[in-house]
Amino acid sequence: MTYRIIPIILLDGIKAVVTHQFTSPTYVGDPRTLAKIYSDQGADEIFVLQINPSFNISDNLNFLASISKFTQCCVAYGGNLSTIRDVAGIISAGFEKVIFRRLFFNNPSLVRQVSLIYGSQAVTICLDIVHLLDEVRFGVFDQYSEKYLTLDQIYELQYCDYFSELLLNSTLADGSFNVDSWASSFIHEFSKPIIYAGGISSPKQINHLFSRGYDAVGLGAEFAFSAHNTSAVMPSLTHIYNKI
Amino acid sequence: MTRQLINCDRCLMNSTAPNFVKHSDGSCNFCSDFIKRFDNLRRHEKSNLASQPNNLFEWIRSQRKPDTVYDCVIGVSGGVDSSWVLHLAVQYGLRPLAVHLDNTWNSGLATHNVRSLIDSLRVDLQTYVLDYSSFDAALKCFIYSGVLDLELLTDHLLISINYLYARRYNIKYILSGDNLVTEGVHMPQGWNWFKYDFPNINSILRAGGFSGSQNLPLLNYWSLFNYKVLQRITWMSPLNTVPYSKSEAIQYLVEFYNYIPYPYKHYESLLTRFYQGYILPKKGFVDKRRVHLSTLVLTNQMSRSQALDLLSQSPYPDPVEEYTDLHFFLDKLHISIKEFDSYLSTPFISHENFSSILPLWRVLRFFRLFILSIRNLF
Amino acid sequence: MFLCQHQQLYSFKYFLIYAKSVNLLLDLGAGNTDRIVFTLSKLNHRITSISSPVKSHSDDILIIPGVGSFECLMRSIHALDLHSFLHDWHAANKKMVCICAGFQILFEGSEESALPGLSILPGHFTSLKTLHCRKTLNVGFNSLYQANGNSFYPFLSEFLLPHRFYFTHSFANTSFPSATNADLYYSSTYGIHFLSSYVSSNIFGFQFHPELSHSCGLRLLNRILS
Repeated sequence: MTYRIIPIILLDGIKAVVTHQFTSPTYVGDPRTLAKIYSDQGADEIFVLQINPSFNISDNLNFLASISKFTQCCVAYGGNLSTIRDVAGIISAGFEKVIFRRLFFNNPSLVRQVSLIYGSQAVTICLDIVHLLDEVRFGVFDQYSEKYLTLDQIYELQYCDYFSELLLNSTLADGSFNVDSWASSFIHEFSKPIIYAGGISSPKQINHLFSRGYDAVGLGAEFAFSAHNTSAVMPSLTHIYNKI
Repeated sequence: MTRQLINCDRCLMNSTAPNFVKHSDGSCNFCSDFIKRFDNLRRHEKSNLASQPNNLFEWIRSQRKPDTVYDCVIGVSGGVDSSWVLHLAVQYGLRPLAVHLDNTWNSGLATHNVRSLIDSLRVDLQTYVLDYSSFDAALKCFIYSGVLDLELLTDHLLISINYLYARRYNIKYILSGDNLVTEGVHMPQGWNWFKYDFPNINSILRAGGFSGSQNLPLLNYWSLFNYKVLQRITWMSPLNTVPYSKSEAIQYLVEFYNYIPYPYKHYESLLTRFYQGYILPKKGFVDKRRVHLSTLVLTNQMSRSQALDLLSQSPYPDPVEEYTDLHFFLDKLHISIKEFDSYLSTPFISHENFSSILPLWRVLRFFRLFILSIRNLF
Repeated sequence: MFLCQHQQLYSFKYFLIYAKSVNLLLDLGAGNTDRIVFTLSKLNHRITSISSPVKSHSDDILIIPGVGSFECLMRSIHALDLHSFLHDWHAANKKMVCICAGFQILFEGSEESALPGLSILPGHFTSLKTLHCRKTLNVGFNSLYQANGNSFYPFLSEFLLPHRFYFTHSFANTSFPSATNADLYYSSTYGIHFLSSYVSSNIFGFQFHPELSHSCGLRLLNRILS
């Protein structure tokens, strides 16, 4: 069984940031340097997620190419992808995978098209874990849209050939140094690899998530900040690797 | 016609250093000056043993005031010297605030080493992350100006943020990793520039059309006066007051903090590694390893033959790393390979071509020393 | 039809890469070819991109990278009239380095596509779903184990366990082609053994991505191209 540790670099335009529940971005540096640092430290993969809705991919392809260029591992990109041209640009820029979130609901035929051209292994779907009053749902929940799937519908997704892995992202836990309560208690038997991201801050939490059936974990703020001091920006993977 | 190089027989300095002078006994002005200062330091230590605690760490501890959170600021870069200072500070019971300047050119090794140390020692860390667009634009101004010391900006900002955090947390002492044992031989004239030369930095930035000075925490002289005189914040070099062996320090750090050493001094920063390992040798025929290794030889931490052997190797042990660093440098700064080749083919120019405080600073320093010596007489 | 319409919109790059002589990069319009280009440049190997058959020398090396679906790669090969070129390359015993999807198309076919592969090597690729693997995608780092007693290229044994390479694929070949003059390597995942590498006198085929496998992959590429 090969578990993966995936550092996540959030982009606000061309700057790397960390957030708290995907708001209040704090600048943490140059994403090109961060990607190189994580790669040099042995990251299994790197996810680069753009949170700025006005970021234009076509105008910034050279910049994006510099993020993946100096890594020696798989780099995936997500955010503001809306056309096949965007995806083609991203893949040509050196990314091996694309991550769809809103587009999965708004334009599933485009997701299918990407899968047919680049292979389903190049497509990852990202869903937010949303805690409603009496249940947990999965989908997109932000200022622009609200679209959910139930847990049963998530299991139906196993039979969808348009993507190969699922990223479950907890907005509530983002930047909190605490894993989402549902995510840490639910045991997964999903036939596609599942990645969890949001609030992970220790090797113990990571091991626990692996025991719950997750195949990979996405780490964000934990890398940027030291858990006992949120002013200590010091991205480093190796102290996690040593204890997994 | 190639210039015949003259080499010192005792250390590794040679006539590539502008102010190199070989003495009749085979030694040179660099190693002679170093030996004199080193012996003076040892004599000063011995004479002070009776009057104050064994080392600066203990002295700072003794100065601790109630209701303070930290005893000192320690600038950490991931390098051996600053890492060792941090380790000793904690060992001697101090409560340091580690401060790191991230100019967005950190290597994976550096962040690993700093993170390992602060997590193991449970030390608070404050990181100042420079706005990379501004810093890179400022760095380009330095490159296009043709001056030699491309690290002047980072070193200056490092001093500034150390003072900044000391002031913010009401800390009176800043401990640096500077020490005679590993970096005592003076840098030759022209191989670097005065780090407090705010007018020089400003002048170079203005000449390059830089407009983002407000995004960089530059240290002007009013701030410096405030920090040094009004706030009485003092820089100290505690490694000069304790026995210090670099190889033993590395061994300890590796064993207890999972520290990963670098092939050469200052190679924790990608920018420094590229600047010292690629730009300086190719553009200016300057090899700063001579200075660092000479110090190790003169303090018996390395044999001369070992040091010569290291010096004969490329400053970039790994050609793949050299290629990657070159392209990372060019990509990050948006410089084409053609522009860069053209830059490398022209010699460095002196910082004196821009405004500088250095002449006035020297005069003021002379007067300060003069007044101090008069005071000591009475 | 659908795929051909869009092939002008994006660049699908197959790389035919010359090692020390000339590296030909076959531009088929898909994939992250820039990554391979930069990786090989770091190792001091030059690359030239091509999108149609060209004349080549006997010691040239062809690299076919893979980010792309089997179907799309084969459509591009047919559309650019490269089918014969690739067969002739193999028949002339010239070296080819084939990565991931580029490796899969060497075989007879894949469950992923109705289009047949190049049939340079015998065998089919089956989906991990059909093979009843626990997961339908094998993604992550895995090790290589030698499947036969050959050592056609002894240096490859340096890259067996504990070295690990990055895999990302939903289809696998579990029927190892018989090979008396080739090295076969398998990897294990989710209870099955699958063909992770096929190495013969002129073929270096990898299901994994050496360019995404950190220093290990870099060393492997360097050894092969040197």
